[in-house]
Amino acid sequence: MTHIEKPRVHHPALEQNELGLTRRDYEGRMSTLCAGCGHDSVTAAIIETFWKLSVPPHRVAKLSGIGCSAKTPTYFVKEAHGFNAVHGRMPSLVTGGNAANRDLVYIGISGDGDSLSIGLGQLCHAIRRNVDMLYVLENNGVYGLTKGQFSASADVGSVAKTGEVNRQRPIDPVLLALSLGASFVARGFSGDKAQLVPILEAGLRHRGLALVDVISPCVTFNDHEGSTKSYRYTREHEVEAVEADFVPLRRELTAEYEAGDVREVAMHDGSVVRFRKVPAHYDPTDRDAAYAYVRGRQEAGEVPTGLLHLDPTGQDMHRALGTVETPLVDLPFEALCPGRDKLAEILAAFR
Amino acid sequence: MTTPTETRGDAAPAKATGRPRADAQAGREADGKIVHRLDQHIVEIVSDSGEGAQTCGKIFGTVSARMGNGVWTVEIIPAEIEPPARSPAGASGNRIRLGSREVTNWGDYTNLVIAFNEQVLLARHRAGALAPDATILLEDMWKRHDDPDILDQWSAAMEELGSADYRIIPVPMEKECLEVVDDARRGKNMFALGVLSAIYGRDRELLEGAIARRFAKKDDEITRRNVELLDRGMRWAEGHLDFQIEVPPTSDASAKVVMNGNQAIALGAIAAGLELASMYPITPASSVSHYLAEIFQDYGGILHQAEDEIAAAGVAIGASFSGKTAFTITSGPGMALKTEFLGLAIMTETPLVVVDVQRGGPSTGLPTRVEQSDLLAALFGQPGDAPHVVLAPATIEECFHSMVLARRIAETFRTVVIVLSDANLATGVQPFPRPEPRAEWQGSPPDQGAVPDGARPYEWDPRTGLSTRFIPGQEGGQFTATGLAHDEESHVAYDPQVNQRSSRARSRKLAVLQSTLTPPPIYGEGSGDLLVVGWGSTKGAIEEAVERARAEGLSVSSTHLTFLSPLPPGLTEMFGRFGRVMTVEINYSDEPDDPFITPENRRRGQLAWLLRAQTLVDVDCWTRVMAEPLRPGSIHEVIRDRLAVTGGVA
Ligand SMILES: Cc1ncc(C[n+]2csc(CCOP(=O)(O)OP(=O)(O)O)c2C)c(N)n1
Ligand code: SF4
Ligand SMILES: [Mg+2]
Repeated sequence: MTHIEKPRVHHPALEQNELGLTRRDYEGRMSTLCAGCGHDSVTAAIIETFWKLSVPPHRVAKLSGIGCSAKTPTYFVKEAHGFNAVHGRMPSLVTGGNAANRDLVYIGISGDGDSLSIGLGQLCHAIRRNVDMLYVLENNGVYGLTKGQFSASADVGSVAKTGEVNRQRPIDPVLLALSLGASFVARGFSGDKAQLVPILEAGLRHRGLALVDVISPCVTFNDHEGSTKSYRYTREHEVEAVEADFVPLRRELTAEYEAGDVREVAMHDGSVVRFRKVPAHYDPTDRDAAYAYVRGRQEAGEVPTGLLHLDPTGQDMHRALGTVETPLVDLPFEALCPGRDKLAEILAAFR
Repeated sequence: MTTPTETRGDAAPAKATGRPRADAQAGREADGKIVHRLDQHIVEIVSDSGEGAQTCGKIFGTVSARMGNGVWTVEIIPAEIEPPARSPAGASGNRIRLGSREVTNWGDYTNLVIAFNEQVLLARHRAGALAPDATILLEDMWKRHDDPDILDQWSAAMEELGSADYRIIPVPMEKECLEVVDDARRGKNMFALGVLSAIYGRDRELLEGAIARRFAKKDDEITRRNVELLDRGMRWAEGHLDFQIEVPPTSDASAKVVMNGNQAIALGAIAAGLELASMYPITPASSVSHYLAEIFQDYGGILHQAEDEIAAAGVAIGASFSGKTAFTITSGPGMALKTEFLGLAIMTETPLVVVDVQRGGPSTGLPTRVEQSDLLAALFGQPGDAPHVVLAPATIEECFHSMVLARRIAETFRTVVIVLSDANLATGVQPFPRPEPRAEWQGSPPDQGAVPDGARPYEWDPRTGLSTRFIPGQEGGQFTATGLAHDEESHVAYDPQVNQRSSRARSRKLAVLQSTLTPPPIYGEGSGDLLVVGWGSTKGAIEEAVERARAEGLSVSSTHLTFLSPLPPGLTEMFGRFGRVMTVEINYSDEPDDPFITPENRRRGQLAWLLRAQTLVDVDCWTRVMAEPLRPGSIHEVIRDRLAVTGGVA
């Protein structure tokens, strides 16, 4: 047996969301990843996010490529539709899925090998098209599933378990996404759920591609002394560049902050992202400022995290194409195809 | 040596040994012209690229089709993208075979050419495209040109052309066109259309209509000037040529459409309700997307130009997964890239239609030229056991209908259907009965109602291997599709029993599909000395060759396969009724008597390879990769050769 069902026992006191569902309803099967793997913590944050936002499970499509990270959709929102595809190609599947049915909530899970090596082109083009999806990149600096080879996100000087030292410059998904004009760019850490959940919430509500790079240590192959993607290294070097709260539509603003400390950005559906403690000279809605800030901190040896850039005004793929609001799968074919009569008309022109 | 002449000699493009029988009946008409009545004739127009010979040829072909002639039009594509003017590499135009019955292939050699300069004519001569007794209408401005280099080129060309028995008639195109337009390069094509139209008696009104349609987006003045050029060409021909050619129309008056194979695929896809197409540009497949884009623009649908062929496959699979069966279109190099994704679609049983418009290969090969070399790759190119359907339209009409068929099969059998077209079908233009679109072809959106309790995403029927597809968003239909081995619930399973069971289900579907097919029809007698087997675009040429051979009393028949996977039933039995069986294909095979070649190491034609494996019949083959369609005359010679008939083809 390669999957383990979790017992479904509901405690009457379990907290319910607007749909009357508990967190357990957003869980998946038991994880078969290594105990302590960062990916499992990301899964926990994803479960919390979907539960909090009361997303109907059967309206969720979760897609992934291949990798330990790509296995995780099995571990959340069990009642969702899933596609565990081929290595590095999740973005194109989401693009097609979204083109055919824009009404589903798309979440793509990927790894640093999946997205920054074999699938780098697909990641870039999904950003370019601004496909409406939450793109979670579980970044551990190695190919976990194939047993610990360096990935393209490994930092210069990072030491592999075998002792090999990486000499090549990394591809940094945050800088890449910023340079490509992504409309939502964030970095989280699997060890900081409190920070990650609001980012994921905002990412899920964002209309367009929300890229969330999550440092997610691989305890088996990349959590040792000398690794720059270990829990310890990340804890020591992380700086929370911005703190962001996500305030869904119809929720009252409760927490109080001193004016001037808070910057609110409205999302397309009326939800609000509230940035707190934004450093001076840094405006998260300004792509160039975000890029300069992230670069600067990285040069100083830090790992800046948070919702680093948000542009709620960008057009997602459907809006850029001007497609109809009704999902293609729901359109009666007469409304979409030329229909029989129109088709006959077109054919008549080929005399 | 033939020199340009203005004398009114006998211009009969008559039959000659080794050429098709044209059955010419010449009679002198009242106005003093010789009228050649023929049942078929091949005419071509060649110019530098950019001088509009393609437009001229297309209008001539369309008007001929509307007048009731059988037509097969082939584009003459320049060897280079930006060739210099007056260079053989720049020869561009159209070649139209007219017939007094349905024309099913491009025929043999060109009988009449109108050429805008002697260099493009040379290209056609060197390509061996022209009948040795062809009539040539040649722009004569070059022989009086100021540039001594051009004069030299002209004389050298005349010398080279002199080796054949052409009749070359000079035409003052430039001079005539300058009476109407300032830049003759922009007018010669319509003048040439006029000349050809007078020769072949094309209907003036239809021509004017076609010109108006061609320039509908420009202002009326352009149409008017082009019609004036047309008339001028007609008048010049009437006044200066001593012959006319009459190819009587067919008696079939049913409504027709005239289009090329890529247009037929695009319209067929729309008729099939495939409103989501994804592709990455590649010759000769790209034009499908251009036609689709035009229609989608007005009627809706999504044409997705992906970042590469891998992503194009991914987008189509993603859309199909989400409930909208999609298709992707490409050519050989793109097929190579899609391989991994085809395996995924087959494994997850996600319906997918893939069109491969084959070109010459391997690698970049001959991008604009026809070949049938992707068959085995289409059948077996996916690692792992990956059963799926492969079918090949044989005519332009079948290009249209194969899309409807492909979608039906892809959805019914939850599998991948590869449609193998080729560059010959893609660019050939042919009239065919106007399809009567049916609502059920297009199909409605998949039922998204709740899935019954307990239903599983891969509820493989133990007999047929078939199961019902669930669509994301469907309540109760949630499952995670996976390329990993999985059981009926789509749970990843490394259990050997499950892998055996699921492999059997995927494979069984092909046998079930095969059980719905009938043996392919035989062209000719049901038994005899030789059976020629073909697939794809060669059908018309093979059947014409068989017809010629049978007219000589040879015992030969042919059959043509639409389904390559699964093969249709009854082949072994059918092959047994013939003394010999031979495939004719446009792919490479070793010649049996070449050095080192033995029956054991001989690489045979791809269909021959397949048929030998499946039927245990000693199937022979004759194949060529000459960067062009097969000629019925060549196949006829091979049939005579195989049946050991001596002497030239009559
Ligand atoms: C085409 C292809 N090449 C190689 C592999 C083998 N492979 C599977 S996962 C993987 C790398 C996974 O690394 P990453 O995306 O970082 O995921 P992680 O396991 O680290 O979470 C590779 C190389 C494959 N499945 N498919
Ligand atoms: S190998 Fe690494 S990435 Fe894979 S499950 Fe184990 S800890 Fe996680
Ligand atoms: Mg990794």
